[in-house]
Amino acid sequence: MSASEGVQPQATQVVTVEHEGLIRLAARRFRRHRLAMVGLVMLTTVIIIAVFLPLILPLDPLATDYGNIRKPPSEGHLLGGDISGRDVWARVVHGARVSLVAGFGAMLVFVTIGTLIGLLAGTLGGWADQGLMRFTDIILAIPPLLLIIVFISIAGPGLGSVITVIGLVFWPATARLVRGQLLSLREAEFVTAARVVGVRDRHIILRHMIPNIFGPLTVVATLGVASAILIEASLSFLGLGVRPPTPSLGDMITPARSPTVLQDLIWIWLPAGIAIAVIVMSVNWIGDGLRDALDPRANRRV
Amino acid sequence: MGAYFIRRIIIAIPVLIGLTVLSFFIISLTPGDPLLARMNPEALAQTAANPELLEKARERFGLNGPLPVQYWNWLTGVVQGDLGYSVSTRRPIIDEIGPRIWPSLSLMIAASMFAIAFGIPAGVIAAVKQYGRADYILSGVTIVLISTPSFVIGLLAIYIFGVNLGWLPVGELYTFGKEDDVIDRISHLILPGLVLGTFGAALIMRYTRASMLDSLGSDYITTAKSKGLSSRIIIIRHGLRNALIPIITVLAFLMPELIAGAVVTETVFNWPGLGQLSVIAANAGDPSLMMGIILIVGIAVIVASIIADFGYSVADPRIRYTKGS
Repeated sequence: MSASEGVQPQATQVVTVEHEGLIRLAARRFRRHRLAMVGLVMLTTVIIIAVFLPLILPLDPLATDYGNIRKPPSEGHLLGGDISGRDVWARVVHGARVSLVAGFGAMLVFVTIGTLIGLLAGTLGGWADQGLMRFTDIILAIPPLLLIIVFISIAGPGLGSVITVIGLVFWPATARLVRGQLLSLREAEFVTAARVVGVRDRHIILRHMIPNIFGPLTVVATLGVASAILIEASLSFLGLGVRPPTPSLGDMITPARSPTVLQDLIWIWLPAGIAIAVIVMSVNWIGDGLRDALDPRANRRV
Repeated sequence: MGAYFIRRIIIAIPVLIGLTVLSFFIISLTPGDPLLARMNPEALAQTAANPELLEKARERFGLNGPLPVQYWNWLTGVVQGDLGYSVSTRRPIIDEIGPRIWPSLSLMIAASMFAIAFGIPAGVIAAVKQYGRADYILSGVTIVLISTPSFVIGLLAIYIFGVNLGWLPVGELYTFGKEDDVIDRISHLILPGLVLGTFGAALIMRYTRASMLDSLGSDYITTAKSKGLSSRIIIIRHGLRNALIPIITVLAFLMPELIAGAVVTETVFNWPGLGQLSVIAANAGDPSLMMGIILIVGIAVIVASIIADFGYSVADPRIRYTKGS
């Protein structure tokens, strides 16, 4: 016993130092992850184009030009015109904006709900924990897109309701993660060590638990952004998402359900499809890179 | 074994009850008179003029009682196969859903078969040739497939194989007038099946690769190598067999993904399944029909996850002891 008294303060010190080292290590691993860096560059480019390009160039996604109806790409219209004569390039740029807003907005909603429910379940324990986890199971038993469609048919379409509804359906993964991390961290040796040397609860939560939950949470949040963008596009394609005339990449592809548009007017729908794929791919790559960088087991493989 | 199985079913019961509560909540959002979703339209038309009879009908369906009583009345009907009536089509919900189960199921079976047939071999190849050219190409293709919305993949498939090459039919269950032609039906199944299976194939490939890498790095592989076994036997008998265990869980996880994918794929290919019905119901603003779909699909997912857990415990006997408490 007397020997361990001398060791314990040192143990907490080691944990803190090692933790700061881990963040730097993770950042280095992320920078070395080739696809993650490609994804980061791609996403940054998309964000710059979607956010700033409409401020510089006159890109009106709603203006109809009768000379541009169903016209293939030309000098005046980079990607040609759609069935109403609207500029496809302007609509892709504005549609990407909507996609990004939907993806990141929905992520904020589900991370908030999931973290709250996970924290509640993990800290309360007992019946509250059981009840909340069974509730999570019920949500997980229903395919997300179906449940989202149910809520949309109740709430009505629109960007706001799309973001809210995706957030309301996506939280279980986050809740499970936060609860699981909380439970395993509570038993972790370095937390016990900190508690034994008399570190205050608040300090344990802030310094030891939150940083350790933050890593995996970032990964789930990033991959959630990618899924949310895909869901928004699918909903808009099905006519259940963002309401026209607001340009949405999914909605731009809907006309391709008519054989003539699909076959002969490929510039109307293909650019929007490629844009969704590029955005989702870059987010997925960043998520993969984050997972590899933040996963402690990655040490083994590298 | 039996005890584990029974325990697994008991755990599923609260989830099942929760699912019915959620379904009841959805149906209670039906606009207008709740009788619309409960009563035979013809009988309702006859009683509609008579307030007294209407009140009696409400009494009979327990619509005047408190919510728990209403729920109980509804649930006893559901257990007997009475899901009520669709508000938009005015037909029994079971008649709307029933004929669509087999088309959806056959599409999902075709998709899973493709996903497994492509995903597992591709994952094995990528793992064996880790960081080689095949690995980079396969991993690159799968991430593109996972990131592209299924309706874009579906439209591209129709554009390339259906319209330009003219190899395959691009919609509906069968060619009109050829209902009994098995070959015709299968050819109609190929494109939507491939499109629906794409996401699963990419997912299974990624999991198989990771799982194979884990198993190929194990000590027993080194042992097998030092015994001088051929690399083929090592990869298939020792590597893949152990790598397959975690893949069973992916297959269970895949089911909700397939159903969600079916919503889009069935709409693109005009496939008369449950996914298409859910889009129709949502566009018609018909919660009663949505409720029926959610209930059926939810039960299917719960049953599938029990079967998967069971399969998992058969494939890996260690599970039964570790999951004990």
